[in-house]
Amino acid sequence: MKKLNLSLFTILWMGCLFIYGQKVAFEEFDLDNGLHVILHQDNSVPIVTVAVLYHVGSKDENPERTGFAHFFEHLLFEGTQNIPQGKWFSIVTGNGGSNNAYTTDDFTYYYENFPSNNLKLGLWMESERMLHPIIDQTGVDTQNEVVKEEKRMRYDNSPYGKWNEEVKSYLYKAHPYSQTTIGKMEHLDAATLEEFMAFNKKYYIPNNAVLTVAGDIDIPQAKKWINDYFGSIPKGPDIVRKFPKENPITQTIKEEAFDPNIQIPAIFLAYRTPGRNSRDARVLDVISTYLSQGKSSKLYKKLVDDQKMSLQVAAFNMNNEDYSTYVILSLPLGETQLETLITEIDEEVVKIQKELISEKDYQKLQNQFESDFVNSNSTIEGIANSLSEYYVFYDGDTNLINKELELYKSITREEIRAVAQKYLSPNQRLELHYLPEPQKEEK
Amino acid sequence: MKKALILLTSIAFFGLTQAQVDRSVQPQPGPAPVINFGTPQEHQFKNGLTLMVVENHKLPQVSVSLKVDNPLYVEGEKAGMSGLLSSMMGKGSKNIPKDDFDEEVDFMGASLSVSSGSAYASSLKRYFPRVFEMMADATLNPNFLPTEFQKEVDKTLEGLKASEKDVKTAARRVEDLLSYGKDHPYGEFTSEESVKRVSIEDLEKLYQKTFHPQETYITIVGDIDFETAKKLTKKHFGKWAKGTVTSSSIPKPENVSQTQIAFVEMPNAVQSEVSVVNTANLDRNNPDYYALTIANQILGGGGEARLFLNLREDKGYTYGSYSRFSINHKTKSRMRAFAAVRNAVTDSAVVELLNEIERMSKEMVTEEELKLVKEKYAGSLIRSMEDPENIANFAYNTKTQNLPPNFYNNLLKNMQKVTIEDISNVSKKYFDPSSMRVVVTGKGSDILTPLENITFNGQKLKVLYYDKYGNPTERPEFSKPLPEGITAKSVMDGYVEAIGGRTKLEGVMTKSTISEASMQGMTIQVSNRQTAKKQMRVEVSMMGNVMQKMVINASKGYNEMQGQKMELKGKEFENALKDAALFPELEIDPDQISLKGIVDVDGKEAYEIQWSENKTIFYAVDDFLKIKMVETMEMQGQIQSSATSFGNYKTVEGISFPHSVQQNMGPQKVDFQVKSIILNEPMEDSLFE
Repeated sequence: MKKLNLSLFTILWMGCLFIYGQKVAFEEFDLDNGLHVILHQDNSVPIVTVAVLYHVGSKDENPERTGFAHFFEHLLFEGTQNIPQGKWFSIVTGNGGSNNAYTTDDFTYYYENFPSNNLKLGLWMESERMLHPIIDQTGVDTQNEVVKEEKRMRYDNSPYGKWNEEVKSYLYKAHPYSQTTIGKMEHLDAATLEEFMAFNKKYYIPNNAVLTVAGDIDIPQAKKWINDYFGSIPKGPDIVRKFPKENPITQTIKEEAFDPNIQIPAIFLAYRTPGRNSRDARVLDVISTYLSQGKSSKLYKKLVDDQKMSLQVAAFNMNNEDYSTYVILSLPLGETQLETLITEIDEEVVKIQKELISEKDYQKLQNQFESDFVNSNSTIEGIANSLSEYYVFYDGDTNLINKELELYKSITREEIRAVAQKYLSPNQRLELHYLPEPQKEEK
Repeated sequence: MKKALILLTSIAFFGLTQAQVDRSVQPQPGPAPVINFGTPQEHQFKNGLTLMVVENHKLPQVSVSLKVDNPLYVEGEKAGMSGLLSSMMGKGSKNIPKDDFDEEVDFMGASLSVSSGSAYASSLKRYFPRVFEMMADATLNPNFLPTEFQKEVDKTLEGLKASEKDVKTAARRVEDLLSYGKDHPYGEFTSEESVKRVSIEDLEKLYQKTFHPQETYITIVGDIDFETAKKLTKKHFGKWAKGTVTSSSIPKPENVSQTQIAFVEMPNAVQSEVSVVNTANLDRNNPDYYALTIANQILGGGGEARLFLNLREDKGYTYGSYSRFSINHKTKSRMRAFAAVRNAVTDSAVVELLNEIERMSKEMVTEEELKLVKEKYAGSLIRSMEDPENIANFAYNTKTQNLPPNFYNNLLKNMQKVTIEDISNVSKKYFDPSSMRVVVTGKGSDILTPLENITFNGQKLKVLYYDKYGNPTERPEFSKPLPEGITAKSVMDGYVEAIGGRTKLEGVMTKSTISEASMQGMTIQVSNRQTAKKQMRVEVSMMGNVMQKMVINASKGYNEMQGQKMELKGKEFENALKDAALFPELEIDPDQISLKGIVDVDGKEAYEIQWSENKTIFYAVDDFLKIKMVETMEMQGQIQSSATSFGNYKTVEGISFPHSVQQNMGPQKVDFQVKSIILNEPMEDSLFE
């Protein structure tokens, strides 16, 4: 029995942990089969997160069989040799838990949150999924329909739902980042059961995964259970990744795309930038914040608030393993032309390239990063996710969780200017005019 | 024998080292964690303001939430006032202009919002004193600028207009009104007239009436100690003068004595909103609270509950069906079981909802159902502890709802105690299927007759009629008696005659139409060329560029976008070919269509002709002109409809053509103006290849 009094507990916390703001303590080790395990203990609330990150995403797919990694995100809830088909969710709910999963270009992430007395159950479920999921025609057929509904809902019928697919197709000519996570339905339709099984055998193996257990745990007990359930899962052959490099973009790519679900057009300016494990990627994050986070950010204040020429403006860096994609998007208001928006946006980008940002804005950025960082570590679920990604995508540097804010804070005004010059020029980008598709008319 | 035994044990032992655990057995949970939400530290200031502090030093951030526990009040003929007050609060203060205010909040990386009766702010620890000061300033010295006020009034009116035809909005409005009564704060609603009656002075008055220290609770959560929080609050709220709390009497909501259907007519509905509602005196102090919470979860708490399993999984009537019990201690609480269903199954859905409600009180729930729901509840309560703000919310509820001090700490225990018998008892008391109000909002011409014929427990249910604002009406007339001799064929003949006569129409060999529409400041041009040989070529262009092309001839058809060609196949092609006729009415076999009756179309009487399963066309009774066409399609389990209205008929070479065409699809609306129509200009066959 664990007794817990939150307000009492907080007093205990004060002394020991947070002399330097917040430090996330963790332990990590490898099992013999290559499974990397990260443990984070925080007994303040009796909850626990069990998460498995598989280092497989849409970029690992055969170009003729796109959508596999995401398809598995559905398929791997179907059942295992010991979890009957269709029972996964009721086992989780019936034990007070919640669960979810998501897929990116680089990885797939599965997790359960439970009251901490169900840690063993969570470990059993994830180990079942890794060892012997049921992959059969029934499951494939069921999930095929569900995935199609998801595609209709999130992409085909969703306003602006296709922009990412369009941007990827123009920015990536050699690298498989041209593929989308949802994939092509004809690929999924054409895929055989054997192909699904082969994909599972190749990528869903302990030596291509990270297990993270965070929350109210007893470390020796957790280690024993992890060993019990995951230790016997056989190791698979090492995965070799060799993706082609892209040639730099030296001339503006001007393209148009049409969407039947919108009335208001949009402009997307997209740049190919370095992968997430680089200092430049972080500098670009800072530039995004400077341009579009908050009501007083440069682009929002100018385009939306003062000049009322835009309905929405945003700048963000989509960080990925091999390359990142830097995007500035805007929707016009009233009679504003997309070209006008480009001119106005460029004016602000040129300022960053030519002048140093003001001391005051620099201080504001530091504050915003600190605030975001604190928020990102406010839940056990969030901490588990951060730890997994730091390990996999930053050369095994799990401890970045405690260092990353300092990294951001060390970025200077001069670096911001240099990085804007290096990556954000008009000849290095795609200008995508994203337009309403006219409705078919019967006159 | 002995040997054999040794062999046997060694095999068993060998097996044990291979698998340390038996993974065929699902692990059982360890002992349930005992939860203790703790109690915030508390102080009441001289002006009556209450401060509660939950210290949590895990992260270097602090948040503050201010809530005014006002008595309920009726807005009456100025309904919408409190919404306007909310949008006017937090736009800076009398001391700081709006732009400077926003800039400073952003600078600190903080968030801050104020509305009517509440405020919230959160920031890094080091900026908290200033953020708190700004929140206090915005709360105590709001600046009601006339320009901003007008902007907000306009926005509200725009919002009302946009939702005028929205079936869900109308359904919720009438459900609230019928559940609580029109003079009850929860029953009244904002209308164009009521918003226009609100002045800045009204907001000033409402602000004075609803912001008082003695009803205000400030909760501060995070990396701050109690003394600092107290000093800070005293500094910024200590001089806030006591006000007078005015409580008005609120009418008591009444249930119906016999289950009945309230039907709300929305002719544009393609799905019916069905809700079964009733109200009850039930707050968290009521001993029935625990069993009823669990009972409601079993009935309609989620994807594993009975309503979902029956109406969605088993019958496929709907995308989701749920029930909610909204607990209220200031007036009666309300139970609502609901689903949005397709028109054709509306009556069956009503019966299934009532059946499930009745089953709760007639039959005992199973052990498995009870166990699952209890575990689900426990898990979500335990997981909610992670957010320290919940502790503050629980403390606020405990104070303002007069709950016993350990209400939340005992919540889980009390929920776990609920038995199958308890559920049966509360179900009998609160889920009485013989005194429910069933509110159905939908398209009467499709659903009303079946609704009127529902029998439940051997009795016909009484049906009452309402308009979309909840005013009682007579039974709506959907279909007027047809005059003698009018048939689908005579309507077709009437139309052909009205636009120019058979001979003239048959003389048309080709037709070329140019129309234009403006969308968000951009002009779209549509060129449509058709021949009597069922050839058609439609081009859509924008800023001079052709964006889409559709070409059809007797043997094939395709759609081309951005150089991508998509062949029309099978049924798609057949339908497109039908639409390619110059005058479909001239060729249609009258046996293929049916005359449904005379209906009202946007204020005009029209013959309703069912053209195909998904297509209905309306012809005006007075002159037979085609005035509207409605097509339906299914998307993501929801039925979508698109309507095309025709108007401004003008004659071209003796034949009348509509010169304004309006397309409606959901909230999107496009107005096309016909710029030119040219008949019988020569067209090469190659145009249509």
